[in-house]
Amino acid sequence: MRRVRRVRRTEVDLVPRPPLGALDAVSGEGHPGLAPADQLDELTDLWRRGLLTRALFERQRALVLQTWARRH
Amino acid sequence: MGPGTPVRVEHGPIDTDDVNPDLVEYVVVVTPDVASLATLVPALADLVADGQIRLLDVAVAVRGDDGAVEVHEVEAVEILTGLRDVEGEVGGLLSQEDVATAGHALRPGTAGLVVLVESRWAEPLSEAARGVGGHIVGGERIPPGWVADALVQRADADDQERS
Repeated sequence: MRRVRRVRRTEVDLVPRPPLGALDAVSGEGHPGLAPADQLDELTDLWRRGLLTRALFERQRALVLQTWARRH
Repeated sequence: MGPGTPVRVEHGPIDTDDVNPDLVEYVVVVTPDVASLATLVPALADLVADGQIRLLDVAVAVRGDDGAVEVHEVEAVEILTGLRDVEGEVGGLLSQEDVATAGHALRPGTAGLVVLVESRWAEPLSEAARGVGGHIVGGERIPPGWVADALVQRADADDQERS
């Protein structure tokens, strides 16, 4: 494999939310666990449309993920 | 091809103009521990060699018992040395945060490869869609438990229709 960068960038770019199956994998829960993914989808949509700054997007996203992690 | 079997060696940059953006997706493959990740390398190498996928980036995510996700480069994981001989690129597209986010799919205490691929197998479908002005717009791997539930529900519905 060819290394393109020695150090990875840190900002979210391609994967704004965990895979849909993440909650299922961690907790065995089904559809009710979709809410955090929905929130992240909404945030991503706002960011992609230029309605959120990157900093605000990252901050809100971190809040959703922290809440998610605390629950599981 | 078993673990540790040499694979095709072909280094060189992937031509970014040649990547079909409609076909790029990430896959998280989880194993019970870091050591087990080595068993994935030959399969990954075969998929690349067969032209099914093109590797655009790879990283390792390890989820601790406390739920925290650590990101490691493949070069830092000794048992993944076989990946060095696989054609592809590493480090250029997924950010640290991307890999950590994808790593939320891991159960605490497990490890996984986060692989960004161009799914070459879908190229004919993409071409067909583009031929009529369309394109592949997205997709999502469905959690297995949901699929199992849906299959049971379908079977139950079939039974009810027959009775």
